[in-house]
Amino acid sequence: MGGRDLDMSDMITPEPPTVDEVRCMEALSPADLEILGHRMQMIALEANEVLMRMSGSPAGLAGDIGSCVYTAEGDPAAAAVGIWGHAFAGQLPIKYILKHYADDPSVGIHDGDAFFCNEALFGGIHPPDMGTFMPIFHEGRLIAWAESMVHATDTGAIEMGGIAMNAKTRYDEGLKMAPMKLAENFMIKGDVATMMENMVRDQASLALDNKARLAACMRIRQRVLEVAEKKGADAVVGCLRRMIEEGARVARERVAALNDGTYRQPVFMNLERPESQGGGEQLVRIMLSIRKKGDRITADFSGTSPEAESPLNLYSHVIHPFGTGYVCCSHLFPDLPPSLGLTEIVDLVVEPGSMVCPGEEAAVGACPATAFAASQAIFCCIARMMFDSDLRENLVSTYPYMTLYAVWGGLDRKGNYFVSFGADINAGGFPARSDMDGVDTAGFNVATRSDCGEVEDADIIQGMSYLFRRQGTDNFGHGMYRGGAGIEFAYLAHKSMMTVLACVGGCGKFSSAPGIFGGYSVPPLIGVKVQGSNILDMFERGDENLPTSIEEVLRSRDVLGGTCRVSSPMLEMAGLDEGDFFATLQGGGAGYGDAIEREPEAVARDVEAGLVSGWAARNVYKLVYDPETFIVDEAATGELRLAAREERKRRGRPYEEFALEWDAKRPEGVGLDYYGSWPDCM
Amino acid sequence: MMGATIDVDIGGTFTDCFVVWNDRYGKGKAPTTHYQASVGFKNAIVAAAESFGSSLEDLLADTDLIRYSTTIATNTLIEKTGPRLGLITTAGFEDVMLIGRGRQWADGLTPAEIRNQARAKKPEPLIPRNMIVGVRERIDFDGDVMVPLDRDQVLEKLQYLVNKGAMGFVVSLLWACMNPEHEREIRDIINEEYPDTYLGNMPIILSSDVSRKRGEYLRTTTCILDAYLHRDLAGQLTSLNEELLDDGYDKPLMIIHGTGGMSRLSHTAAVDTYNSGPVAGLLGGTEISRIYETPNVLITDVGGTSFDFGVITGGKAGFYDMFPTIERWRVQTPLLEVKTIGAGGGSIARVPETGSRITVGPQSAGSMPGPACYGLGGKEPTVTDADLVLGYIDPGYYLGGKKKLDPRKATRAIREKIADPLGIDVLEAAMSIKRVVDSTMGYEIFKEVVLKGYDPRDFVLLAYGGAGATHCCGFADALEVEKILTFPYSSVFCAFGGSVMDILSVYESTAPYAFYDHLTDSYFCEFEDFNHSVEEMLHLAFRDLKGQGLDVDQAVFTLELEMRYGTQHFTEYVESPRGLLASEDDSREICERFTEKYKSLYGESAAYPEGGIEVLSQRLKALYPVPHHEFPTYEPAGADPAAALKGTRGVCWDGLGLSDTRIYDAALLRCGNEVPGPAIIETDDTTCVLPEGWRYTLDRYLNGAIERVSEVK
Repeated sequence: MGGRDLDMSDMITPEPPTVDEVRCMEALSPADLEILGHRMQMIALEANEVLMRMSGSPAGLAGDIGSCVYTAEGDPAAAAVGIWGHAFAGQLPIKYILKHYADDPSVGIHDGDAFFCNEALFGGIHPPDMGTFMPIFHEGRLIAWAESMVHATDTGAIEMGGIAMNAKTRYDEGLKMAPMKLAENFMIKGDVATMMENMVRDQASLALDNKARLAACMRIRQRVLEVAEKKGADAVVGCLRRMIEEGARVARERVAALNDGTYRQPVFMNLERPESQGGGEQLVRIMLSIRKKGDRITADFSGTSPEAESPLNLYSHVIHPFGTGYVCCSHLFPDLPPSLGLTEIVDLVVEPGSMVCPGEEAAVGACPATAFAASQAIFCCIARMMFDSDLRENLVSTYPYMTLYAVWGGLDRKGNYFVSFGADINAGGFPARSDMDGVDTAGFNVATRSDCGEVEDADIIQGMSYLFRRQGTDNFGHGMYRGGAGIEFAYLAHKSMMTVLACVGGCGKFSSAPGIFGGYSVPPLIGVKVQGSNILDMFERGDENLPTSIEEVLRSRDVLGGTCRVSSPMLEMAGLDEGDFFATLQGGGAGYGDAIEREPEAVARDVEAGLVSGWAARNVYKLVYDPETFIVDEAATGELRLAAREERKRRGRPYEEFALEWDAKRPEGVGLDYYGSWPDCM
Repeated sequence: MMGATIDVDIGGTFTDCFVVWNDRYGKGKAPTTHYQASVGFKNAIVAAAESFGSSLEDLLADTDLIRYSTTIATNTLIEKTGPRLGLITTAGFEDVMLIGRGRQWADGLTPAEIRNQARAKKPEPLIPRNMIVGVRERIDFDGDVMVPLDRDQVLEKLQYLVNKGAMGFVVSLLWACMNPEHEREIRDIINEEYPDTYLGNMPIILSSDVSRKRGEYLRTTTCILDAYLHRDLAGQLTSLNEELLDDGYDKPLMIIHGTGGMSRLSHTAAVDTYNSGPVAGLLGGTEISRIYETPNVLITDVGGTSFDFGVITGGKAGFYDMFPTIERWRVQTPLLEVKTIGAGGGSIARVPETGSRITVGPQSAGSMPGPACYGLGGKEPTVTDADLVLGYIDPGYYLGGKKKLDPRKATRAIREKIADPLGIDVLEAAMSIKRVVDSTMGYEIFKEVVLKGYDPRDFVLLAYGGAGATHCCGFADALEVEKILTFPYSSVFCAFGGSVMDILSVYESTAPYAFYDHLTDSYFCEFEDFNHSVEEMLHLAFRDLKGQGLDVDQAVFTLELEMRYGTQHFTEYVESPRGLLASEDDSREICERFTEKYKSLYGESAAYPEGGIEVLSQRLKALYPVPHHEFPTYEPAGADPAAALKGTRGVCWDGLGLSDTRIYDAALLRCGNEVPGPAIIETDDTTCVLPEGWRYTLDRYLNGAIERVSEVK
């Protein structure tokens, strides 16, 4: 079993307070708790700032990082993000270290040690999410842990960039380290660092990240010890545990106040086989039933497709940091101090052998996409629960799950080797709300501090240029309130000595975000790769057909010449020559409510801004307007909408009849290799 | 002898004035008049003139220099009163401003607001999408033309913008910072096609004129803000110039910049004026640093709703926010860093749902209804209410007796909202509010100081603002500083800060240079492009200095370099030992300085020269010193403060409980008087709270020096 602990999934909830913690908690006054709690929060923020500034990976800029102060038992108590998932994901590795290494004389846990882990089987997320964990001792007593995590540019997998879409098993995914000492006596162990750097392509970034993570942990340690010296170690211990206990208590109270009920939501993903494996789209399903009873929420993923021969498999513990943790911290309880306590209300149920509880050989490199899909299902269910309980202000539709992740590398114009990933991952749209549209190009769904960077930065720092970069048209869910638009762009090979590009994408056949309450889902995404075209000549002569959007690329195919491959955004690693480009888009947010209830003026404004096409205005929103002035013809719009309602009524039929007709549309013979049995994935 | 100098800070609520005349100081205060800033401006000077027993005309007649900071630019942004502008950019990149790096929705928000992602909203764009056009052209990162500019298309797009009612144009093209050729061509086309008679005073602003830094979003934002704010700012300030001229003042009128310097109006971009008041306060701190020969100073300004703080090291205010946020807009103009958090006298205390803690701020009761004790309808307990209940503030002598406070209302608010829910008594609740707000302020400063690589214990704290002296010993405990300075002109400190400023301009240029290659163990030595770029910035600096009638030989120039290791995205600035580089030793020295700075920030083992060292941009500062008044000094008149004793009252102290405490009148204290804590020292605009373990001394500059005499608890 290679040291695996099969009971690890039981460690995901907060540990019960120890006798010592109870004693320390009771000694805290209300002012002390606020002052120390604030101090712990500031410590996490300071460490995260150190991490961001020192990191050698684009994740530092993109906000794909997190830092956290943990209790001595390994529960996250005060987090700074980045990504909630990165701040909370240390608990299983830390608990593993405590359980298996504390009394192991060949390892042990000592002051000055720092452990590294990026292995999902040992509580990590996916290989590029690399975490460092440092115990904090005060006068020989373990009083807390420090954690820092950064998404790395490469893991030495069979494809560069950290997420190998061709990976069939874990053995294709490169560097995967179970908890291991990275540092002793506050110094990185040269032999371990060399081993790690030797296993990846982008050695400089990893070296910088190792230093950054350690520095962030040491900063947490230094500050926590200063507090312990001044206020006493008991105050630290009591404060950390009480932050979790209080969060859990208030979360339970709030959940208890919601209406009981069962809410169900399937999320379908189209899993695309790489061309080198024969290609083809495969349908899989994440199925969620949320049962809310009293002060508990049970998230039951029974009915999810079986484990796939794909890196999209997901170990269920990842659902907590990326799914329930995110929903709780950002949407259900955004006003409560973020700690593990907020997620304590959720119990997970998964079926062994399913995509969300695969076997130990599974590839998991792209698991965040599946975690996001699971979180979409959670969002949909929670939205209905909040609507039902009249808590509509923080209710949202869904974020796109398939965040597009482009990786490139090669030799820059000076001949330097580079590996990087596109900050465009942070340019998705946010979902529609119950009372307003989603935010356009607002970021990466689980990251509250993400940044999609600038074209000129990408040109010079990331070694890849853009042909165009704009907000997309109709790439979000329409609705009474529409989802925010995502970004549309084309990467262009320009003046590099060698460029290879890959894109981890999906949703070429299926929506990346379902709408709610009649709102539209986000349309499937597209990728267009153009090679050997005339574009260099077109640049030189300032050709009026130079494309500035994906639509124009497709319309200019004849003028452009060369080869033009139109597919999903999934792109296997391949070389690009000067002038070759790959155009794709980042999905927007899903819609809320019936599109024909949208304020007509708002639709006209979106058409003028290029966010909604004339086609969608007419056919989805049933809008009549002057295409020159964008003035709405209210009477004609009213008539068209009335006619649409009548047409809907005519299409109405009894459920059994509908179900028969729908079932007849089942895919026959293709696309169900990984689905499980139709329709229930059994 | 120098004539008088007048320094004015036009704030959001008050316009403050600080005057030095014949080695005497005077201050004046008047409400800010948003409809016409010059009215409040002159009223404040009149008030200051009266403190000398003089008139506006007499004071102006003997004045050599007027400097001022202003928030007019901020008001234009809040009230959205700027002109309708058109933006011309590179085709295919029209949405740069709307994409806003994805994170635009979070810029300018507090961490709590950012966390509430479900309510996220982007700010309304200053230029709507239908006023943004793209023209076919492209320049690449080397400055090479990839796609030539299409003149016919420019004309077509211009006509569209004019038809849509454009009152000015912002031209911001990709990589114009490397090659401004296309932007200049567009300006020429606009000037040819729409001469002055047609466009009048419509501004045409090129991004390459505003900033030569990489990053099209931030460059364009900077440019748009400049164009958007220009009209209101220029209008108000020009009329101010004219009115002062009518009043007989024809000498220099300088505007203070957030960059830490000042210029005439003609050499001021609108965004330069942002946050200039607090920055003037920071610069005032450098003067305190100089005369006290204490290189490290923390400036703190505790007001009604916010707490501003800044860091001075080595006697200089050298920490810049490279991409400051102006309201909701991040820009590329480096401004001296003065941080603000929502904590002040009006901050509201509450017991959150968790039920066993007390939070204070960031919500504020503001000035209306204000704290409960104001008796204007406020029901929420605030920091000022707690200060009143604890006995720190005399309800009959708040602001020198100008405002009467109602202690019963303060007590009731604290009892109902804090004490009863927690099951504690009112005094304990009030003390908890004070402890929480003091620690909040202290820890915020702590984080910023340590992230700059310094130990807060090595600093002297300078406290000003209405509640600065009331809470300084409290947040000094969180920082463990040993000494605090308070200032008799505390309430006009930002205006005072203007009086110590010099003329300063900052120029920047983007281009990457590999300064150290680990593989070959070699340092940068191809200096031609590097030096050429420095010379270009020097040329601009000479032009600007001469344009203001200044002698270039008197100016002091420094070159700072933006540096990083290997693949890092974040950078640090290092001062270059010389402007023009001549040998590999220069490059080595610069790399060593970078490594030293990096180690001091992040630890000995953090440095990583193995990843290579790069310079990404250059920043040239041109400083032109102007003469300043010297603080007069006084002879000590003995340590005994008895002559200033007003009486005693019951005051609650942390650890001591309620105890009869001596109250002193600051106006009656004499140089050298020492007041041991616990004590209260009252002035007509603030109250100094001196806990046990601290001692207050009126020093030879007649500033209040508060020193710790026993260890931090």
